[in-house]
Amino acid sequence: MKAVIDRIENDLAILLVGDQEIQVDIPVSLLPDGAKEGSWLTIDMKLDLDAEQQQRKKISGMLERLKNKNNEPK
Amino acid sequence: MNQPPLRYSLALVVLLIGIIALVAPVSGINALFRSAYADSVEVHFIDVGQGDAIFISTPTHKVLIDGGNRGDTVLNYLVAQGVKRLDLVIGTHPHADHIGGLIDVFQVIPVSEVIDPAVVHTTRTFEDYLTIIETKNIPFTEGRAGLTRSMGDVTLKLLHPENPSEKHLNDASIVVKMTFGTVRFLFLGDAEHNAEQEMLRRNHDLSSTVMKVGHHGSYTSTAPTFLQVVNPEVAVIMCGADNRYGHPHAETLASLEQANVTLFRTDIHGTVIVTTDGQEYTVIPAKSRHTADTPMVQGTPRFSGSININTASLQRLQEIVHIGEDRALEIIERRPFNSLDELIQVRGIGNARLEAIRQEGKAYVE
Repeated sequence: MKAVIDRIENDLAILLVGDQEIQVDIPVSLLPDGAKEGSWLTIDMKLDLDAEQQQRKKISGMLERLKNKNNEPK
Repeated sequence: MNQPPLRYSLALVVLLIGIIALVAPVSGINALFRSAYADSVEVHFIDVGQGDAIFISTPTHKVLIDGGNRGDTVLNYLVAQGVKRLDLVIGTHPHADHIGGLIDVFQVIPVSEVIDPAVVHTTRTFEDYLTIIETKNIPFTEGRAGLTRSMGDVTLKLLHPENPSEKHLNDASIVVKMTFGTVRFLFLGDAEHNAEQEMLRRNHDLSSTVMKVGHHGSYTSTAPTFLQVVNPEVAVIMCGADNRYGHPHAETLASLEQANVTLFRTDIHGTVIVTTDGQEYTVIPAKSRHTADTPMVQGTPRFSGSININTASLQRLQEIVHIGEDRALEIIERRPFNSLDELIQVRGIGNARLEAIRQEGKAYVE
């Protein structure tokens, strides 16, 4: 997906995204180096099922540890 | 300089607005005051949320400066005003919150001329704006400082840009000064400090009655030194309610307050309409009855700025403070003047008298 930086207001960049040029404001700190007013960007959004699955596992593990910790006999 | 600049008639205003609020919608207020001045000029600072759109209606001409974000808000406003044709549309600079809404306007309303800084921007919105100008065969003029358009008794003069860069689009903004009699408007687009400094260096006559504050009241515009020279009585900030950019910024509000300027904001007052006959003016905010502090303002310009020292007659020159016949004759001899500062060359005019002449505000240079 393509986006273009229409303008920059302080620390927010006003992106116009996609063919409809839908306005999305994002912090300048998230932009690649060299991005400026008028720059075109490629926004690559894909589902990352592996990352999601890993995080699910990690959080489940943490929840389990906490639950078991509270159930341990004092 | 610090005397209250405006003639308030608060009691009358509160009474009137109270009555009108009971019997009529906002358009009723407009209609009432429209008849107050014969041959009046109206300037509508249209509430388009975060963006600019200014509609100017004279007895003979209709002008639009910017059109807000993409969509039909401004088109609908113009249609509701009965606008069938626009003599001039100015796109101050290519940002979407200024030119986006012009696309719908061009699609529906015939336009005689577009003035634009003609700097490159890469958005599809700007491309679509240029495409519709081309498709509709609208004459396109590159807007540069010095360009003027006369419309009956109303004159529009561009004070900026001289040499715009696509690297900084806000500072490429077209700045327009509109003069009608002694009432003057300065429309600053998104001009920031660099543009302000350039205009000061070029010695334009910047003094104005009503100032459309640059760049939505951002701290990047309205430097105190610039504000001092413009010396407005009324300022209008165009910005969206609760916008994410913090407009208007505290620095700008503080500068305006310190300069004793009466402020109107589209985020608070909605659409703000200034009506003038060229001598007096009236400011009517759409949401006046919600803001008891400044429901409406009427005034005559403090500084008439009516005597151009480069063209005024011997007699007219003597209406200026500290100018008698001898000095008036010397002024005529020494023409042309590039700025009021050069009056210091005239015998008997020192810094103190120059300052007094400036304060009086009758003299100006063009």
